[in-house]
Amino acid sequence: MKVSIKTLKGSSFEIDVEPTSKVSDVKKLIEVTQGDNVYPADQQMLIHQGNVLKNDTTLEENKVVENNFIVIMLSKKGSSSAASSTAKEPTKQPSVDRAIPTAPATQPPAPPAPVSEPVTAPVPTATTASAPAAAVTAASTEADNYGQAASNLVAGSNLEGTVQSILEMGGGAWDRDTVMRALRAAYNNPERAVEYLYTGVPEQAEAPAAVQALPVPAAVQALPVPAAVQPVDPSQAPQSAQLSIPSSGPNANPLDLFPQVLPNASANAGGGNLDVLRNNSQFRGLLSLVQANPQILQPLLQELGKQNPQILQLIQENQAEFLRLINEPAEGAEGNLLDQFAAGMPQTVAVTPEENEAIQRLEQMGFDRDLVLEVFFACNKDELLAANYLLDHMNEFDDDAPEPPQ
Amino acid sequence: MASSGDPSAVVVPRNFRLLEELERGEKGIGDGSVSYGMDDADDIYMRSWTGTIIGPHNTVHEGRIYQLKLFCDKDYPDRPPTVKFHSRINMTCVNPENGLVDQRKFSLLSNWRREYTMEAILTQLKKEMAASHNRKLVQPPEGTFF
Repeated sequence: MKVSIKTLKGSSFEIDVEPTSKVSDVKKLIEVTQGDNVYPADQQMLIHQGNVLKNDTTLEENKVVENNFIVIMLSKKGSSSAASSTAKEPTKQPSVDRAIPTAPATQPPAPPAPVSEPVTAPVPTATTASAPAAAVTAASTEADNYGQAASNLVAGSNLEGTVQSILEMGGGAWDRDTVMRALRAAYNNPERAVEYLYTGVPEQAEAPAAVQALPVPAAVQALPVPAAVQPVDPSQAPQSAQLSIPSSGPNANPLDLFPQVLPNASANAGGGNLDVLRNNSQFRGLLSLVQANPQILQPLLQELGKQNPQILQLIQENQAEFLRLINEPAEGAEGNLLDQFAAGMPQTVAVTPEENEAIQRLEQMGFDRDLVLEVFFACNKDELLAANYLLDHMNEFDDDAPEPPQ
Repeated sequence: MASSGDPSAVVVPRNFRLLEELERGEKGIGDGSVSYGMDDADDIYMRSWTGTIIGPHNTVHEGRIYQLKLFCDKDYPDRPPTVKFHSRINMTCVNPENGLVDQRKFSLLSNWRREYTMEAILTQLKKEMAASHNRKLVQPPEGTFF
């Protein structure tokens, strides 16, 4: 028999089925006829005269007869999923009550928003709070620095404390007698006394020291170089007296210049005179330093012996000529000194990263790099001590700036 | 069948009216979104009917098939039939406990006229599903019955 199949879109088609056919067979026939992409059998729903036909029943049982019409529609699996999710909702409540629960569904997203705002708010507050704390810390540091910049003359009970401080500042480089002599020459001004310790005590103060040295022949005998010179030239006696004066402070410059002298020494291995040394610019710089500050001769010779034994041997073999070199007036000494300092500084850059940072911090305080380097190493790389020294002598450094280092 | 009133008016007897509706249902006149038929073919009084409504588009009812039972007693069509949903549905005019369509809330039943048919009831119910107060109500799971 022929049965009309009507679709929801208004179209219809006919299929030829038997009254004894099962509804599932009819669905498969429709799938074959119309295409499985249009009406897949598993999604078909057939309706006949108000009844949804079940797959396991026959057309005869559903009273389908010739020329009857059956409505076909597709069930959506997505809709089934939505229905299953809807199952959670209560089904027997009045519709008015069901409308109310819809509103709370919209509200749950709202509560998280206020929660996130309080979480965000404290962060800038904490950041703002920490910044003022840092500013307060910086202010405190500045106040401390200003307080430490005070300068004054010492006398009486303060003298002993000042002497002790200067000894600690030198880190053992100066002995107590030297510090006392420097203070006396500076009329008990501790800042000036420290400057004398670095640059040398003035000659007017050296004269009494030289006189004191004469009555002690044993001290003169202890120096090998001056002792060897005496028999050769009696006029050298005053030189020996000066040489006996103890060193007043460390000097890093010899270490800077010796490496450059080393190659020349190798070339001079066969030479027997000091003419080559005379022509060496670095060596002339050393001679200028010795002439400006005679008390450094002894440690200079010791360092020279360690760094370059050949040059020391050469000097010992020609001591008379070496002494003449020392007494000769240096030509363009100031120019050479400046050049030596400029050339020597790069070689001193053998500092650890921490020391470099400390030097940079001292420079940021407003001092020249050369000055900072000098003070930093003089204070045995103690940043705090160097900072105090720089601040205490700020005015003196400004006055001395135009003048070349002495 | 004594008639009163205008002598010219023809009063169609109940059985002839039901037979006419039965034939219309079997022939499938209409868009196919509603269909109906007799529930018990052996009942000579043709009182029990079954119908289906396919949910309209763009509503929560889309893709669903709602089955209903209509009972036309002996006073039909002078009085409206009893309409009851067999498939579970959430509508303003349907009793949520038993699926009975409330006559006071469904205008077609409360303003019943003799010319109305069972097809008109089903078609009007479908329109009611698409009304603004029914189209977005949360629905029970598909395939459940009262």
